[in-house]
Amino acid sequence: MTPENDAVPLGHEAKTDSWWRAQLSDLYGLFAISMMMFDGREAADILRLAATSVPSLSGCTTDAAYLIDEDGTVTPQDGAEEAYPGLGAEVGKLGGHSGRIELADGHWRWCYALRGLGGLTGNLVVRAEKSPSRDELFLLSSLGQQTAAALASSALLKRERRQSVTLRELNEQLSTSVKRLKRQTQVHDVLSTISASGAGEPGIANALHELTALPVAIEDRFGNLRAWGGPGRPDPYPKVAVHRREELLRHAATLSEPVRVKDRLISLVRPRHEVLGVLALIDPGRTAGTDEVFALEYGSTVLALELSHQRSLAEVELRLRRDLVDDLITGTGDGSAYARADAIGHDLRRPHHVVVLRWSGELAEDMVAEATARAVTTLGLASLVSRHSGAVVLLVAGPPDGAALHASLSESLGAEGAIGIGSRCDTPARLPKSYAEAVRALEIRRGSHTPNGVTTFDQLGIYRILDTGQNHADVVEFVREWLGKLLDYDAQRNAELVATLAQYLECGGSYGDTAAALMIHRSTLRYRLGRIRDITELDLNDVDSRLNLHLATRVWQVLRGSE
Amino acid sequence: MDQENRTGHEVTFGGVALAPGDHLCVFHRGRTDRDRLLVPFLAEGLRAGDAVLYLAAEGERETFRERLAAAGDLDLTEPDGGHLRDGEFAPDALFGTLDGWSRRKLATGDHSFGRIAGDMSWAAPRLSSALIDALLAEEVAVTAWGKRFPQVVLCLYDLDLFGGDLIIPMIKAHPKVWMAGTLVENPYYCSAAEDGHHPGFERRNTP
Repeated sequence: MTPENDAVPLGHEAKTDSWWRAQLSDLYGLFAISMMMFDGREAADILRLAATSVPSLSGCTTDAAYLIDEDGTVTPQDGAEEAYPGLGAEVGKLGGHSGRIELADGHWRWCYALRGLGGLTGNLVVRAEKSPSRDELFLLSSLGQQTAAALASSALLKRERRQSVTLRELNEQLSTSVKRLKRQTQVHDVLSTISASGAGEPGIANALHELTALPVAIEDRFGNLRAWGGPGRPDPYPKVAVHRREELLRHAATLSEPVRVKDRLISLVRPRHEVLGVLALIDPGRTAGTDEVFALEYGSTVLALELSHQRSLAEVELRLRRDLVDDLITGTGDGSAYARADAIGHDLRRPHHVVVLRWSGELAEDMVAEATARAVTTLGLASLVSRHSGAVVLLVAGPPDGAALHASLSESLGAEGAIGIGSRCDTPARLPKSYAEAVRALEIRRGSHTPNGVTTFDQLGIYRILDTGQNHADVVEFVREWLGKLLDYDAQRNAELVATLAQYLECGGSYGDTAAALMIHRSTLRYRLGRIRDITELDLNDVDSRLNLHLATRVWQVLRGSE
Repeated sequence: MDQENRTGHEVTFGGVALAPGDHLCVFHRGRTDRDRLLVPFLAEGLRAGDAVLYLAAEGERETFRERLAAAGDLDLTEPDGGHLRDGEFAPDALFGTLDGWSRRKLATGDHSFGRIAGDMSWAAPRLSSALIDALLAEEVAVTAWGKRFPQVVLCLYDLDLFGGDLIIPMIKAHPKVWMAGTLVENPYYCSAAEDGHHPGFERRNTP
């Protein structure tokens, strides 16, 4: 069905020039409207132009206009709401085709389905009191066709603009990505180059400062400054309390990116699970952006490699030292020993003593070993450190100050411990013997009444012969045999008869020397010696008694742990 | 005045040469688009020593005076002194104004050419079938009247304000139409003799 079916039949009267001129003028107007529809305007504007042109091209008025977008959504245009009730539903019944609409008011209505290349783009419903003429219908049909074409063109233009916008956004994103990649490549190049150059931590700190224009701090895990890049290095370097530092590290370890702590942006240097240090950008102005954060993260990666390398070197050196000590105390050739010691920078040609340390069982071996390493450094002892059979073993060049070493360790470890020192070794070949002596002295000290202290093998004297290690009980029994009564007396009366006897025998029986050494009066000494004779029922001038008593007091002194 | 004797005087609009007696309907989109076309047209006339009359939109007179007055003989009026009287479209009064101006400026020999432009945006809030008919009659009459003087007349219609109900009649009424950046001629325009529109202006214009 076409609207022409309803049209007023054509008359056969002759058309005047005026009529033709009016028709051509209408066509010209339609042409002009069509041009305007294609000037790039929005779909709603095109439909408005069509709707408002209807009265100028015919005796009809526009009843309603509907826009249909790409997804089929129908949008009534201005005025459609005021149209005859049910008009929208009637348009819907036409199923996207043009057609006559019959409503109760009896007016002539026609719906023009506006179809373009992309399908249905809208509907234009016109109304008149009576059927229009064929000339009017021709103009309205032409208007509908032009409108449909313009709407299709507008949709294409809109899609093209949308694609253009999308393309522009993609280009912008790509451009941004390229800029970011260039920046990241620069960061990568600079930091990789500095890492490979061997500039170490100061080099990394300075490079990161150059890249970010922010001061840079590299700290160890305890908060001590290892390197600084840029201006404004604090002096002294501030350090937070241990528990706060540990809390900060724990918090930072839970995050996958740098964390801001007041005016600093920090990144953990953590090659695996162990935190080796902290890399920080000093950023009080909070100016650090994505680029700076990337530089910080990559800096911490490079620093992790650097610190891991340092750690590996230290561990290798430590292992070499330990292996050398282990071989030296178990016995190795002098030539080989000298070469290996030279390789790790230790002069083995100097006389050495082997020192063995064993501390309270509650302390981990690692802690004792680390504290020992710090103590020998502090005391200026040239030494090699290792661990053997649960004890720390030191090979010390020159005479070791056992008392100072013991005092230092007691202070740093806060616990009791024993140190045994072997005799002097002029060649590496003697070190196994010195080690055995140190172990012996250590065990004797640990088995004495005062196990906290230092015993040198040289101090053992005659005890070295008497106590071979297997006959300790016999030695103790010997002491009891000769000094038991005096020891019991001293214990009961809080007296010092054994010490007095020992000093008397050491002084070769001289009253004067003995009284002076003990800082007592001669009459006091004489009284004490009388008591000793009474209690022991022995003659101190008897050669055998005197020898046995002298040996017993010597052993007693060793067992007592006296210096 | 014999406009055919006038030579060597270039009148252009949007880069297109116009002839004396031309009556253009100019469709534009917004004031920026209008000024892009209008200001060079007016300025060209002022520089050439033409008499220039602009029937400006409401509130625009001083703006145009500041932009153009220093360049030459510029007359400016707003709707109340042009198309309207007491807020109503008054074609007779308008023709009185236009005819008086052309006679003063051109017929006395003060200027050899005149340029008249009228912004029609005043009609947008008043638009009705009656007003469209009245405007159609006015434009038809202006076309006939304009040929009597060495002048060009522009009627400026904003496409953002008007729909097809006004645009098509105006296209029908103008012998030349500027739209979409092009000047097109309409050989089928409605002339006064054919349509029988004879406003009072025509009667006054009779010598």
